[in-house]
Amino acid sequence: MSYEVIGDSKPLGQFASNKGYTDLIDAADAAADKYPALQGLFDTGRSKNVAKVITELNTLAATASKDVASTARTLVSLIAGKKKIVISDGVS
Amino acid sequence: MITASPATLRRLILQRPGTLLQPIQPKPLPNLQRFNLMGGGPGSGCHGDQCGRPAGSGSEQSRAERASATYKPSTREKQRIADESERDLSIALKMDRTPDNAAFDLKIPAAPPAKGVGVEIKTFIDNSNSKITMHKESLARKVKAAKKEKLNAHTVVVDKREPGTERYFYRKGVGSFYLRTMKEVSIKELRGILIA
Repeated sequence: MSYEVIGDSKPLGQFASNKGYTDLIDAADAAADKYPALQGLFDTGRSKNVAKVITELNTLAATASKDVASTARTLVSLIAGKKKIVISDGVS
Repeated sequence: MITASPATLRRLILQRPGTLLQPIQPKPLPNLQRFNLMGGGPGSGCHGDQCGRPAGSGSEQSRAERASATYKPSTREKQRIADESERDLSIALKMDRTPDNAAFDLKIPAAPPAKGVGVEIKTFIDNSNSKITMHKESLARKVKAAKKEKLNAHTVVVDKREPGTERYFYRKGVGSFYLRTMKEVSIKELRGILIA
C-alpha cells in the first residue's frame, strides 16, 4: 500500500510506503502518552484536530530515526492549513 | 434428397448466385439526435436543462462532506493487515520492503544491464468495490521513480476479503485497476513473473 492523505476532501499526495507508515506508527506507539492526537489519527484514519497532529508530528520528527522523521515532515507539509484529514490506502 | 459433405455444401452455397455473395446492405442508423445524448438520454432522468443538480444547490460544506465520504479511512487494524500481507510477500518473493515515502512497496534495485523491479501492493480487506485507486500525482511519482531508478513496475493485489483465504492478483504497470482486469496468480507464478 502507498498511503495518501486527503485534506478538506482533496487528495494531497502520498506520504508513506506501507513500511514507512508502519515505522511512523511504531515510533508514535513507543511513547503513546505523548501523542494522543496521532493515536487518534492512526486508530480511525481521520482527524479534525489537525493543528495538534502537526505539533505532535514535529515533536516526533525531532527525536525519531531519519526515515521516520522524513515521513513525519512530509505529512506535516501536506496537511498544513487543513481542517480535516483522512488517511487513504487507495482501495475502496 | 442429396447427401453432401459440409465442404461440398459450403462450395455449392457460395457458388450459387444471389445468395451469400450479394453485398450486404447496411441498415440505416437510428436518428440519435432525438435521444439528446449529452443530456443523458431516455430513462436517465437527465434532459437538457434538467440535467444534474441545479447550479448553486447545496453549500460548499455539504459538497465537501459528500466528497469526503468517498474516501474510506485506513484504520490501524486495516494497516496492520496490509502490513502483514506485505511482510509475507517480501519473504516469499525475496524482495526488500521500502521505508519512508518510497514510490514502491517492494523493490529489487537495478543491476545494469538488468532492470530492477518495483512492486505496488494493495490489500483488500472489507472492500465492496473491487478496485484500486491511484491518484494522478501518485501515479506520476511512481512512473518517474521507475524511469529514474530503471525499474519494471508491477501491481499486486492481495485479496483477504474471504476469511481464511488469500488470493493474489497481478498486473503489469501501475494505475487505477479493477480486479477483473488483473490476472489471478499463485505465489510461485508471481515469483516467476516478477523475478524472471
